[in-house]
Amino acid sequence: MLKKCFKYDFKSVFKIWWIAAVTVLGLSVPAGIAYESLREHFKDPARRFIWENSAVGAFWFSVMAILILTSVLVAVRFYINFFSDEGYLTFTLPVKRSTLLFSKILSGFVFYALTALVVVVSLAVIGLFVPAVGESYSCLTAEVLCEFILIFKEVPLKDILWIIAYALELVLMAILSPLVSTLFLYTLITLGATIAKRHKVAATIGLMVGSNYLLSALIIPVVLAIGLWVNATLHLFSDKMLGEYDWMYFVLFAFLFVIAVLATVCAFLGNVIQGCLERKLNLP
Amino acid sequence: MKKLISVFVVLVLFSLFLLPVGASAEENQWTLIDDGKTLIHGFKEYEPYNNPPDWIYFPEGDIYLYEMDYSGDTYEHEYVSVVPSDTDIVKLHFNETVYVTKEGKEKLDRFKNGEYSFYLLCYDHNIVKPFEYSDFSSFMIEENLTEIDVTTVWNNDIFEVRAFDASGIFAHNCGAVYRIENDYYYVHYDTLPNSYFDAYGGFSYRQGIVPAYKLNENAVKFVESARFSSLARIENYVYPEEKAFLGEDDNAAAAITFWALIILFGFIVPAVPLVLSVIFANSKRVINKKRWYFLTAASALWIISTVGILASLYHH
Repeated sequence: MLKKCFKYDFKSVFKIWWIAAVTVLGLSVPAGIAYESLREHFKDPARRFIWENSAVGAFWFSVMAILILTSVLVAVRFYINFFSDEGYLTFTLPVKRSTLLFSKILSGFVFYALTALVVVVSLAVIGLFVPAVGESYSCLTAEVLCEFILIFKEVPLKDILWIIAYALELVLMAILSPLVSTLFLYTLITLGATIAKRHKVAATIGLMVGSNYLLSALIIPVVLAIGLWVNATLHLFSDKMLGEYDWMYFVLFAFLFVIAVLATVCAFLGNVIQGCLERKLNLP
Repeated sequence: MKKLISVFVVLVLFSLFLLPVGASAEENQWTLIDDGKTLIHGFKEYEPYNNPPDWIYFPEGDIYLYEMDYSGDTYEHEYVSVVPSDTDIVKLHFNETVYVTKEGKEKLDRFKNGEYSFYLLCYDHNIVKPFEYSDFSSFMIEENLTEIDVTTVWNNDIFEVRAFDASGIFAHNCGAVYRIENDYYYVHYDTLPNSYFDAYGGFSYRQGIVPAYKLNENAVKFVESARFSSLARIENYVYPEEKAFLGEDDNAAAAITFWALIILFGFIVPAVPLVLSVIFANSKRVINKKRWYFLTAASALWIISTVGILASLYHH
């Protein structure tokens, strides 16, 4: 059933999302040409660069728009499907609530990942037009890739294993980060919709604003603590950090630490949503 | 009446607490008054000392830097350098003006007049070997007197003979041994006329031909041994006011920060979801209990990664 649930969740968001994605990709071509034109003629005092600035501005506006639109579409789909009148129909389906939730989490994650992919691809398209610094070829061509391959060939096997280990950890972090964003959004909607008997949307928005303030207040002491700890660690273990490969174990476990924190947050938020859906479902 | 007595007792107790604070504040209080003409520290008064520019500030061991209290603009953020073994001679850290008490002035005057307390043969500034007055005679043998061109020797191996004052704070270069190819030559600065020195009293390498004594075999052995001397004269600046902060030399503060934060964020914080998830997973009221074990696994991984970080730091 997960496949079917996911198909409908995906379609529901995709029917609007694809327009934004195509717009971003489409605008990346004139933006790339505009960047190249700006680079070539920026010393010309007679030129006003109206179309160039417009093209670049439109591209970055579309990037902002797709980032916001994805969050809104995912949130709206989750809210309407679970907590509006449609919720009666959803929860009468012969599907486990955990499957319904997992489908939403998966579709949310997929759209965040697709959005990131669209942004990366559009930036790569711009890179095709703009030459690399000091070179005649573009930032993203076969020559640049060949240089990367040549550098990689010179790396010893032991280092390649380290690079693979780090790459795996980075992939895990890249998966967990949008997952945390998706689950955080779903948690706020779920709490807003289950706590408030009326004005659920207002309650959700209130929770979003409140959580935003709370996170902003928390981030300062956390960053300060991290800075202090890194400073103290570098001070106490400066000799060790200089030793061959010693610091690489440290970085490996530091990445694992971040992964574990993200995974804990994901598991906690997932359980909160699941608990609310099972025990405190508050349909209109 | 009871209230008055209570207030009196409280005030007495409070003043007792203030006593050590006042004493410690006075202990480190250095105040410059009279437009820099007098430096006050407790009951001691210091006045500026006009030392020759070639004197080298070369004390051994800890040099305490105390923040100086001054209302003018000239000495903003200035420190007073104090050598604990002799507090009659102090120096402003950045401005480099020397301040002395009457006793300190007497000591430095004697030093200025050529009364040296002890000598050191110094290689590479900090590596030193004790040098006796009698060693000059083995260095300066009349039949070995010759002339060397010093314009090209400034980058060679140089062994300076430094004379110190009675406090051991200031030094003066009496002369230096220069290595030219495989021979060593001693130039005795103290017997050279002023034309051999620059405006700051330093030996001038632009002078050209300079009288020098070629060292004999025994003297060469003595000089060579200074190169591998195990004695080191090292100064160590201490900032007493800043001991409470996490500075470069404060291992204790760094260790406390390191352990406090790693215990809090690496063990205590993840222990909360770990314990809660186990409780929920075994609670009868919870539906679909098994899902809580994901949280157990994630928080356990959090703690394991912390242990991994510690192991990577302490692994030899």
